[in-house]
Amino acid sequence: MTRCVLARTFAPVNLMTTNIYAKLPVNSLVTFTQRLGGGRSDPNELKFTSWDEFLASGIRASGFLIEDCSPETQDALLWQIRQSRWWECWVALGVNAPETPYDSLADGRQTREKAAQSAAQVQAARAGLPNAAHLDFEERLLQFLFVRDGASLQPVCDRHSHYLYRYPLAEALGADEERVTRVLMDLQRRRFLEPGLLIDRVRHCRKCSSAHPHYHDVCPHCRSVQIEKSAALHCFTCGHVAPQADYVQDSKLICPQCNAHLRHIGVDYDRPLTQYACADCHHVFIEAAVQVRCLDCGDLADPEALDVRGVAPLRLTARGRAAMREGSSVEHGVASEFSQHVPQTAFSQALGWTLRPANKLPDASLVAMELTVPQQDARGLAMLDEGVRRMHELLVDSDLSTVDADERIWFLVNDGASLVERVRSMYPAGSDAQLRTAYMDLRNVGEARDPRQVMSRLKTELL
Amino acid sequence: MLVDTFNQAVHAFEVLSAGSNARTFSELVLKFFPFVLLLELPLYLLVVAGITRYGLRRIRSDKQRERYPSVSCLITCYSEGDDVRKTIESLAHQMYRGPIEIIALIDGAIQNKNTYVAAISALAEVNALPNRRLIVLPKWQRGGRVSSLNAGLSIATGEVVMALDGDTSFDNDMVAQATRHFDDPNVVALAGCLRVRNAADSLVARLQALEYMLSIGAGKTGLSEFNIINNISGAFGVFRTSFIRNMGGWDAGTAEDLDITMRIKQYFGANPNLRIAFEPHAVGHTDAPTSWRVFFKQRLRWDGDLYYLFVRKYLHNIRPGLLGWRNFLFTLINGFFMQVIMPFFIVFYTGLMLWYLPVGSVLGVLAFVYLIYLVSVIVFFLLYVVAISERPRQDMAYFFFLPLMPIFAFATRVNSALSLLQEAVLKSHLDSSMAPWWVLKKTKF
Repeated sequence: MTRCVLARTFAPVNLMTTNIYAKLPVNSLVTFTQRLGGGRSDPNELKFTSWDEFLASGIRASGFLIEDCSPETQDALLWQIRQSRWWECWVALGVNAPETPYDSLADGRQTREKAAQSAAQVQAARAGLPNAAHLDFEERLLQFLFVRDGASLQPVCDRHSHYLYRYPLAEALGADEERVTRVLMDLQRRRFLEPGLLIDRVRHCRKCSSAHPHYHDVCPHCRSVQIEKSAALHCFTCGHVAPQADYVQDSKLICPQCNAHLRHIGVDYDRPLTQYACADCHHVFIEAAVQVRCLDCGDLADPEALDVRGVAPLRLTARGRAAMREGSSVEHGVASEFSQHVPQTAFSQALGWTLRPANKLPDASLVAMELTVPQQDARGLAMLDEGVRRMHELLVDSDLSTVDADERIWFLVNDGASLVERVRSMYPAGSDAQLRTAYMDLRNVGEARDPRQVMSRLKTELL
Repeated sequence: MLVDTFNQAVHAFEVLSAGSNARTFSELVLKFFPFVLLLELPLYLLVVAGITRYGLRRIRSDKQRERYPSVSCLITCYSEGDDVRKTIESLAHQMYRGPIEIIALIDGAIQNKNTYVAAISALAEVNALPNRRLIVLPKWQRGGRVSSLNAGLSIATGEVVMALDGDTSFDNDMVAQATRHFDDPNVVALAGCLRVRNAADSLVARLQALEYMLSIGAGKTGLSEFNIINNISGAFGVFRTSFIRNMGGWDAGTAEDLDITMRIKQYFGANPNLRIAFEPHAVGHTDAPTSWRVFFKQRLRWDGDLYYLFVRKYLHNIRPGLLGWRNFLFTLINGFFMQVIMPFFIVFYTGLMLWYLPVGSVLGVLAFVYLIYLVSVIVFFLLYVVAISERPRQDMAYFFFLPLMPIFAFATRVNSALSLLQEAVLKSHLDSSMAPWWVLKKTKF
């Protein structure tokens, strides 16, 4: 709840408030504190009591230190910093800062000197990286981790969250919970992020991904919840088994079938192993079955059928680090295993070259495919990966492939019709994954020979 | 005179070994008597078959463990004093990955202050160990063994609960060996193997050590192959907690170990897949009586308890519908006939023989029986050492005590008849040291 309020109040941050910051020193650690007046006052210190005051000053901050603030103010400031143009900066909390729900948005608890040092390190690390203002969410996330040595995204348990665990830092960098979950899963699939030490395991509904399954025990025979533990008795004299209540007569135990007086457990009677009875189907049993009902979508399932996901802090992999250095973050995880795969720019260049007005139109096809799964969970993503892998296995060495930002797969092949037919046969009607295909014989391309035009024509055909 | 006796003995021996048709009455007595003593042979053969099966099966490599259930060890302590620490420590230092909860139940903690103090002194040390927990539960008013066990059961948290004696210590792989069997959901109880800790103290302790090897180590291994374990020893029994909770725990009265075995078996008729297992390599070391007087007194109690249970308490429950056919026949023949009726036959026939036959003939008969008994004991012993024993070298030293075994067995049988008679006439189970009189008085049988 708190987060929603915060996000609504502070999310739209005015990036271009003022221009006067250019004159101020570059390495300036901005301090937020609510304890003013007392203690030493250093003229070089940039102290503020609120975010608005800081914005008004127009100072160009290189890092922040929040100390001696109330928990609410501290959280609000953290959100404001991470959503502002200073999202990437080092933010330290004072050594005695209170523990709050969003303290994971900060980089840690430090003294002033340490904080200034770390802030300078971050500033140095981001030199040469793209301008922080022009990045999309995914890139911001990776860059944030890249400029901090050994940083990770910390999951925080929140019982109001659909997924039970949230990554507040990722949300603060500008995405809602659902998008964060999807992007983080995707970045892991592409092996840019990897899980650190596992902190929890959560079971999700297969249908709606909710992490709020409700477990209840039911009759193993008819699945009714109308079961109760009813102590049954087994008469040794005649072998009759019935609920204990049937035996009670005048505060004595008398067998309703043979009238034997049951005096002593173990000698005249015992308690049979079947101690549960179903009121609906009158089945008696030893152990109840456990069933799961999703509290969000009401889907019923067996506990084993739930989607089990590990929860762990996420950190940048060596591959992610390399991609950040080389600036190619949208490389597709599985497709890049194949020699036919090229980055998207190279693909459209190759396409442009074949379609040069001077060229004779080649005997080749451009194919676009889109594979979608009903549920973007671990299983769904694995299905997508497997699909991409199988498609590539149908190619010959001279073919080219690429994956665009919307996960469409493009091929430049000799015989598009046969490729489409073979891929279609892998996904007959009724299979879990949905396949959409479109292809174009390049000999029929006509007058429009611009590769971007050709590709967008095919895109509309896909829909 | 001596020569005469010798000749009679030789004659009797010859008659018995020749196998000719009996002609005179004395020959008939001669023929019949040994078979009374040797009626146990079919049982021996059954056990031997079981051991052979076990031995052949053991050659297969052990399966990788997948489960380590939590274990609660109930130690019933009375006047053991410092010995209790040995028991507690041998449990705390088990080589076992799962959690072990040790519950020391001090019965009559006011009189047994020493035992209580000894158990308390182990608290800090045990609780510092990972995955181990010691609880000392003093029962100020004495209530007997059963009351201790039920009190322990009520607070036990383990999936498996062990009923153990305060004067018994355990090999460090005991828990691992014992819990292995509970992977099978049909195993509801397990009998542990007992050895005599103080065997070197006296001849009678030595002979009991040998007897424990043969009757527990070898005997129960054989019986468990057919799921007909005769008894889960009170000093070392292992149970599935949920099962005995449903059963209602232990029942008051003496011989609670045989009682609970019998009551578990009463579920076998309706649930034929249930099993009581035995693990010869889950080993406990217990103190045996070191003097003949105490030994015979102990057996007097044990055998009296047999009569109490099989005749007074469960006579009407020995039927196939409750126990299943297999355990019905076994309980009837071994429990009821062999252990309750046979001792009287033996005493009766020995008397009859002494009355009718000359001394020499009697000696001849006894020599014949002795030899057959000896041969079978030797075979049995060697089979035990080869197929079962986890300390074969150490056990082999007992080979030289084997010639005494037949005599020892005969003496205990005679003593047994005495105790059964005493129980039948005097209800001596009401005078047991296992529980105070005011508890025993309350029992219904």
